[in-house]
Amino acid sequence: MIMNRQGNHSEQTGSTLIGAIVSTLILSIGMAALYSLYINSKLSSSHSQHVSTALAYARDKIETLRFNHGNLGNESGSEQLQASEIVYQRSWQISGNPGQNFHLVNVSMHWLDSSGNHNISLNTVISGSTTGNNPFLDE
Amino acid sequence: MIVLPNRVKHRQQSANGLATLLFCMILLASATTLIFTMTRTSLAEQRIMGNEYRIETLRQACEAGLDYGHIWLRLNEPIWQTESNGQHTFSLPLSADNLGLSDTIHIQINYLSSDINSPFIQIHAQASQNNDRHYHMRQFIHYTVINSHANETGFMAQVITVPGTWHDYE
Repeated sequence: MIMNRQGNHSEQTGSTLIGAIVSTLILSIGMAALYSLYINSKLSSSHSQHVSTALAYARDKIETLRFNHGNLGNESGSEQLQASEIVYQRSWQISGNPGQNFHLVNVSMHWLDSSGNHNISLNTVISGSTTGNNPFLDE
Repeated sequence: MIVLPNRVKHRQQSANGLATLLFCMILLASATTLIFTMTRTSLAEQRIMGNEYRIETLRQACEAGLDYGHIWLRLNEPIWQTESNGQHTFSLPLSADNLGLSDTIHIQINYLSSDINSPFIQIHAQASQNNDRHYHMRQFIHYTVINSHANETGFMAQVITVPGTWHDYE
């Protein structure tokens, strides 16, 4: 009887310990997977924000060039812009000489964040004009 | 000091183990729900961003089409075709290759005039990608032929954009 009692005691203590170990193991594995998911989610979320910002900068440049369509020439340029701790490199290239009928415009954005290097670019055509900066008059 | 019998002690320890396991499971389930909610938000943001980029690309292609349409109309005379509803239309054959843009975007420019003698012409540009995405832009212009003697000095027309008539839609 005494032996049996001791045997039961050791068995029940063991299952309590095993329960704790198993639960800790499950929790650790689950938390590791969830942490990985969380990090990926956070990275993609910030990437979306960066693309939106870059797109806004590229659009802004195209609108500026479109407004100054009378002074467009065959040129290219580059500048750095900073927004929420990310430095964006904005480059543009205009093909077509002053006085030509239209200019091909390419604006590309480049930036580096925690997930690596990224690029986006927008292309458009802007009509040429030699009559000044009036955006409503194409002559 | 009260000494509990062994059977009671064992039951209590067993219950403690079960409580730990349950607590961990509940914690894990809560964390999973939270992370999945965040992931869904992140996925929605990614989709919005992807759509924004594609639409902006198409919008710039449409703008390019409108600009090109202005230039073409300034230097060329459209040959109007009368539709069954009495309107006069002219389509400008154009592909993205002509404009040096991405070859995955196709641009179509249409001119529409309700009256052949009216100085107002509507330019309609449509940009489409290989998938089902389309983007349209339209604008009214005031059109005056300055020099129609094409054989002598070349055709020339004045094209003035009518402010406030620009409209875009997907």
